[in-house]
Order: sequence, then structure tokens, then C-alpha cells
Amino acid sequence: MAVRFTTGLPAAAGLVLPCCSRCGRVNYPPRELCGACLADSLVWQGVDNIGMVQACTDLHYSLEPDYADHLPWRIASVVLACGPVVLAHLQPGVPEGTEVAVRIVEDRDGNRMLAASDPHQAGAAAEWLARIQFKECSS
Amino acid sequence: MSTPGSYAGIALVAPVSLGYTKASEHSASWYIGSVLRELIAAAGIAKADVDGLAVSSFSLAPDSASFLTQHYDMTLRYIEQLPFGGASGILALRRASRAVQHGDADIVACIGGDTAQPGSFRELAADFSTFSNSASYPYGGGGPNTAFALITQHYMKRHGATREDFGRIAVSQRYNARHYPAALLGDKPLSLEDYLSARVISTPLHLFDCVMPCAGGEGFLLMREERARSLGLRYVTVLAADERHNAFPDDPVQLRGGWPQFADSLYAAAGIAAQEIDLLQTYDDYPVISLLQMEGLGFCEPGEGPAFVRDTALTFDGGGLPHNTSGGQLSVGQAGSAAGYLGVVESIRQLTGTAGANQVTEARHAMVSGYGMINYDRGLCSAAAILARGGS
Repeated sequence: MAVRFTTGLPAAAGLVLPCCSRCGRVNYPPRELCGACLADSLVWQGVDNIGMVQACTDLHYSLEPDYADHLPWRIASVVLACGPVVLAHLQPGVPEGTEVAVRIVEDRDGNRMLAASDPHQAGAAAEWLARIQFKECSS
Repeated sequence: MSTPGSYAGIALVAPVSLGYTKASEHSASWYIGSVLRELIAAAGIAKADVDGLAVSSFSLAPDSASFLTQHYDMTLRYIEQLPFGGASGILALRRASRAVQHGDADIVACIGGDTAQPGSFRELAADFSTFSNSASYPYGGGGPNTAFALITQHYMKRHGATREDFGRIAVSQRYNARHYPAALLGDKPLSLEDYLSARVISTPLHLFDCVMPCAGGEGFLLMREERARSLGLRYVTVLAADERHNAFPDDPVQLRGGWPQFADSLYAAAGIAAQEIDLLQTYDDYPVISLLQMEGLGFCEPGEGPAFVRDTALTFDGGGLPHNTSGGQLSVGQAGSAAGYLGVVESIRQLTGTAGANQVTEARHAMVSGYGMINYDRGLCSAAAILARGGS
């Protein structure tokens, strides 16, 4: 399989998002102009990757054949301490209302996406990523 | 902030719903043109009398509204294409009303029409918007189910809603659909037990929380009241209408649309209270969104939606608040952008007394609400209109 999603995320360790060098707003989803001040001043920068799970769902039905073989698949909406709401793959067993760390990961086809895991269970998080054949990116 | 001016003098006539089917080989232009033909026939006018067109379709590309004038051999002086999904019908009504009030057009055909082919829903979901493509769809490929599952889960946790509460909405609508022959699911009874035991789609959503994509068309004509009277047509007037886009953007998960921002001024403009609404049509792509509309439009307080649907009959003949009286999208089917016109068209039928077996008795005022465009994690468009029984 080839890369099929254009998420715009760079191959970087931790969490790197478009930040406005004029007003400081962290923007997500990625866009070309800052959503707050409309300046053409967005730069991909490392941000605080801690967030709070607002809501989560286990997908039992997918329109994408690649996911269909791995259902149910857990997705969360996470409010990052640095501002934006992101959707992310969520480590199993992590409920809403808990703190998570969000990182850029790459699936086996090279699609870069966001994954949220419990920062206090590094071992379990690594095991989860290995099981679904996702790997953390390195800068 | 200023508020919308009066819609006095505007008449909505000739409600048309047609061609509902799970999959179709026809194009969107077939659906839109077929609705147009039926509108003209229902009003007893000539095609040349229609000088304005407001259309919505997800499946019209590569064509656009402009190209349709040649398809249908029409010369127009007003045209709109409204890509607002579930809010399209109300937005068409608002735009066309202003055009007719100010002389830009005399008769506007407002039409939502979409075709559906096997696989076309996946194509639409997989390439819906820049934000969806980059930040939503790649996460599991759930399409719109993902955002609505997250909204539903958050709503349940915040407000203590249960699946039974959502089930009451779905089951009541199925009852209504069993009295509306065009509903695609109208021949299948649905009990609360059926609802609760359905297969899971994306927790906490199960099968009967989700709409069935389909093909279909919906439309109505908008003209001045005098014209409707001279044509001898039964008509509906517009007491008030408003809309918001990307309201409350800082809410981390969508627990309200834009309705609370204009509900008070809407009722004030209409000169009636929520208690005087005889029927409510909400945009029901997932029952939780209907609850947000009931709350946002003042039928109950924020967070009181679950108690409201426990205490209020929602069937067309239950004596409570008749809701989605033709079955809504959950039971009629979601015909793309036509679904954004369904509530307006059904309200016109109800208020002109032409609904058929699902007719609400003594229907004088209808609230019709729209919601649309899941760009990323929430619906961006919210709209509502209060309609009243007119003359003829």
C-alpha cells in the first residue's frame, strides 16, 4: 500500500504543528494562513504535546479496507494544552477525561498521523503502537 | 447586532419529494430537473414563469447550477448554488425570499437533488474537505460517523443521556415514516428493543442512529403571496428565519449549534413562543443533533433534551410535539443535499394540509431547522425558520 492520506504532518519526533510566528496561535488542522490573525506566518514547530481526552469512540465500521481488518479501532478527540482540538488514534483502555501525550506516528505505509497515549504507561503505549504496526517518527 | 428583516409577502408553495431509492443510475441533474418538472405541474405554471433557481447537490459535479439552465432550456434572472448540506433548504429559502422581495426574481424554484451509486458515499466521505481529508478521515475511515460518535459520547457523559433517549427519537420517526409512503424504511417497523439491539457502528452509535444514504429530490417554489393567491395555490408564509456559521468555535466538542445565538430573536420576529409551534422538523443526521436543536431552539433547556424526549410524544399523532413527521432522514433516507430541503418541504405539506396519512391536525406553525457541513469535528452551519399556514 502507498501513502494515501494527505495529513500534512512532518516526520518529526513528538508533536510538531503549524504555529503563527506573528500571533503565536497553534493551528490545527493544518492550513496555509493563521486562523487567528490571517498572517502568512505559519511555521511547523514543536509544541507541548499534553492534552485531555474529551471524547472517544470505538469504530466498528470503516470505509477504508485497511482499517476494516483491525476493527474495532479507537479514536479520540483531544484538547491540547497548547490550544487546538485534534483527532488521534487512542491507546486502548484510556478513557475520556484522562491526560494523554500526542505524538506524530507513521503507519506501515508511511501515512503520518497523530496518536494519543497515556504518558504514565510508556511501556503499554509502545506495545500498542507495535501491535498496530505504527512507529514514532524521529526528527 | 442587527436582526433579519421581515419575510412578509413571501409564499412557499408546491412541496415536491420524489425519486427516493437506495441507488440510482440517474444523474443529479435528472433529480433536480424532475423536481422542477413536478413543481411546475403542481403550480400550474409554465416553465418560462420560473425566473430563479436555487439548487443544492453533492453529486452535480462537474456541472454547476449555471450549466443546468442549458440542461433545462431556461433563461433565468436569479440563480444560487447552495453547498450547505443539511442547512441548504433554509438557506435557499432565505436567499430566494430576499430576491423575490426586492424584485430580482418572481418565482424561484428551490431544489435539493442528489443521486447515489454504490461506492459514491465513500468517495464523498474520503474527499469531503481539506480539513476532513487531512485531520479526520485518515483516522479510521469512519466518515461522518466518527465526529458524531464523539459528539454523542460527550453529550451522554455530560448530560446523562442514555441510548433509550436517542431511541425514542428514532422509534417515533419510524412510526411517522410508516404513514409516509415515500420513506425508504417506512415498511419496516422499529421497536425500542430493535433499536437497542442493533449492531454497533461506532460506539455509542448503533445502526439505527445512522442515516441511510440514498438518491432523491426535494423542492418547493417561492413567490409573492399575491401570486400564490392568484394561482389558487395553498401556501405557507415565513414568519422568521436565521442562520449561523461556525458558532461557538471554542467549544472543545460540539454540544450546541448556532441556534441559541438567534432563537430569542427568531421567536420575537415571529411573534410566537416555542409552545405555539405545532410541529418541529430537525436535521436528524444522528439523534443527538436533534436534541441539540430542541435545546437550542428553546423547546427545553440545554442538557434537558433527554428528559424532554422522555416526557414528550414525538409522533405526528401523539398529542405532544410532532417531530420529523415524515420520518426524517433516519427513516426516509438521506438523499445528499435534498436532505437539507426535506424538513422545509414536509412543513409545507403539513401546513397546507396536504400531508396525507401523517397529517398533523390543526398544524398552524412549524419550526424547521437545518444543520450541516461536518468539515472536521463538528457541523458548521445552523439555520432555522418558523413557517405559518397561509391562505388560498
